[in-house]
Amino acid sequence: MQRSFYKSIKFIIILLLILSAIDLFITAGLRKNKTRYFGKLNKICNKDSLPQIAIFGSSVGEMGFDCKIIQSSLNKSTYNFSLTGTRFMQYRSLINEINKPKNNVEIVVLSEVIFSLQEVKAITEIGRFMPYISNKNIYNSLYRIQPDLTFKSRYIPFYKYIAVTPDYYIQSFVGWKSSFINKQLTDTMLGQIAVNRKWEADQDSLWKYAKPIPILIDTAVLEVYRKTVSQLVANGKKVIITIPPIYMPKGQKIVDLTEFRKTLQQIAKNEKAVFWDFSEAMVDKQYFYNVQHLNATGASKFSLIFADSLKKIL
Amino acid sequence: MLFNSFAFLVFALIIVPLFFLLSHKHRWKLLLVSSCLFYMYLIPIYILVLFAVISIDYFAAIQIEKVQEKHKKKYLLLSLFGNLGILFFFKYFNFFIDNINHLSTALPFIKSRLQHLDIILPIGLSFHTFQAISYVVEVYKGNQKPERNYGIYALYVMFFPQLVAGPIERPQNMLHQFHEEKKFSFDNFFSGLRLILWGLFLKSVIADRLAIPVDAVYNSYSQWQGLAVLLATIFFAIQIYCDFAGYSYIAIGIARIMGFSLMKNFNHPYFSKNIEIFWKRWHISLSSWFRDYVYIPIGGNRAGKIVYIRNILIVFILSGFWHGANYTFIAWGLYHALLILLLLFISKYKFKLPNFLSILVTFLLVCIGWIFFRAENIHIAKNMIVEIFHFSKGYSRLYTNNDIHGLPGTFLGLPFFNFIYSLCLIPLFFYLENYISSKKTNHFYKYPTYFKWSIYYLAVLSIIFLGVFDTRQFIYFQF
Repeated sequence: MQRSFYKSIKFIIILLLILSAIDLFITAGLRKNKTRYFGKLNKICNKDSLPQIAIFGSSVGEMGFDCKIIQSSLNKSTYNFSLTGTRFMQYRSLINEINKPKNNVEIVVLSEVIFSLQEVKAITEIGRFMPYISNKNIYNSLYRIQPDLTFKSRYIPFYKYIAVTPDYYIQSFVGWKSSFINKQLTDTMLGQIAVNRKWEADQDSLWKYAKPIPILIDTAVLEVYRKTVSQLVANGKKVIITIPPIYMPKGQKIVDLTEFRKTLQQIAKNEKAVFWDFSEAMVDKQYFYNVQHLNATGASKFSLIFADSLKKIL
Repeated sequence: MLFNSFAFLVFALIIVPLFFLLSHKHRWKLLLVSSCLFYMYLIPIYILVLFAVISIDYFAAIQIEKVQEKHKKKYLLLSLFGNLGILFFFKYFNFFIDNINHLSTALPFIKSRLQHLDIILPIGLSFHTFQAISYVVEVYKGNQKPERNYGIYALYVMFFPQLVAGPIERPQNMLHQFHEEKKFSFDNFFSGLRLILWGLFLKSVIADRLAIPVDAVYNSYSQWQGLAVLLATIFFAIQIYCDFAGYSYIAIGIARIMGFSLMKNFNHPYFSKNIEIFWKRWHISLSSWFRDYVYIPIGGNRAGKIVYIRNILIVFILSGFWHGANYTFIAWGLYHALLILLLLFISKYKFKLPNFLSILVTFLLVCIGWIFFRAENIHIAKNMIVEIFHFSKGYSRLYTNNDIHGLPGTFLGLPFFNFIYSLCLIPLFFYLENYISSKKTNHFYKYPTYFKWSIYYLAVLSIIFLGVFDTRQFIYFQF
């Protein structure tokens, strides 16, 4: 009986040691990753050469801002921290990391889309944030969205592994690879994902019969948004709130941006930020691959327009 | 509460030690309370339905023993009507309403339509209803003394390891176990843990991983052609087995740790050489229930061929209908009945296929049946079967270009490496099943400790790092 008891204890201790070793190995690999989402998170959480211009947003921002163009036009280091599939309440975790007075970031661009200011009930791919789940800003932002999952992921050992996707392990491997084998494996796109696709044929029929999309603005989210902008300005950052181009011939049939524009404009005015509405800046179908997302050609053109606008205020 | 959830881990870590800390006379109370909590975790109010079933059978069984022979049947029928009435109300009422409405469309003078009931099926209702029926029938037959302790009888119906998806136990196997004093034993503890580990591996590493491509194809079947449908169906065959057998292993394992013995529910059914053997190895507790309480009472195979054919059809159609109120399940049952009858017909010719081939043919025939089981309706099932045999251009297409956000395309809804990994699960599954079914596990226990432990560690690590842990329920919970 006693022998079996000690055997069980020994088994559990060895298991915990193995699990801890694998956990450390995976997390270390992710922290070395310089590409995609983990690259963005590492850059921002390690304060690893923070850029002068930092862009935040969802997929629209991630596809739409070509940082190489903005960087060369303005001669200021630029990085696109936007995360596909997220809304303001999730990507604000990254904004809060740079929302401090003494760092390299001078300009913060907030790329907003029709659903940015909606409340969210589920975190999009929490795995992207796992290496830094103990980070106060990351934890608090995610906790507000999904308290149960965030709490367990942080405090219950190895619980995080039931919430991550296989990409988590692949990216850890990429991190180790970039560290030992291919040290040049960095994000040459500076955070942007350039989509080399033309307007999708099915988009025409898709939007033809689509019902109007209501733009929901949650008051609680709006208040957090206002506070974030206010703190950024107080910390000496120039804040630019912007709506990137939408393919309006289709988009305006379904989206009434008036209220959304007014809301963002009002916040910008009150908090001494800048509001630029580019939603109707580009009308040619060749620049889009669907109503909300610019393709690589569109992103290059829009980034030039955006850089020109920035030049005027610098 | 799902067995593969964190909530259940906490639940088990509290209940199991507490069970052994309490004295024997209080243990059944702990198990009863914990079973109630386990059941109420989803929809608490449905505990009342469960207690309605329990109360009907508890009193009916006592009356059956008390009253004279000629009145016994009255109480048996009362119990059957009570149990099946509740089952009908929750599970089949809307199905019958749909059918009546459908029929009445043919009669233009009937204008009004019957309304659906807005109800959710209580989890595991079919399982505990059948378990309760087996108790009353056994008391009626005189094979079981009625249980006088209401709490212990309630525990027989709602013992948490087997409450929501079986195995459907018999009173002769279970009731006496609640009266026996259980002592903690490391042998039970280790073998229970091994079963839980194996069950979790089947569920999280295999079943829920394969569920992703299965859902991708079956939820938008019109986008897919031959090979994709075939592959998704094979995946589903493995998914449903790993899901249900995984649940059963965990149930048996958790019960064994506490010293209870539950019946085996699966015996490597995909290694069956014909469909009859398959049914002796698949969901054994349900097949044997239908054999003992339906097939034999209506005559079995002893009253001539016509009656035998009729009985096979009745049992399999009922078995299909037990799974759900949908024609797909009836078709699935009918399909298996026809396979059994076909086997009876060809068995006259005494030709014998090599073992491997007969196993393969049986597996593929079972797979075709699974299409009815998984498809949303008969029409879709029929189209999917046709699709498998329709060798058109694009038959082998598995790839979808869905790079809306610049992401790579997917194979049956999975990224490339994930898809390859899922494909590798097929040979892994058959290898492990073959290893266990050929009793090589006895050799396994003779290996040195470091080797056995390495395998256990590998299994735990696979579950943690490769398992899928979304909120996907066990498939059989819905029945």
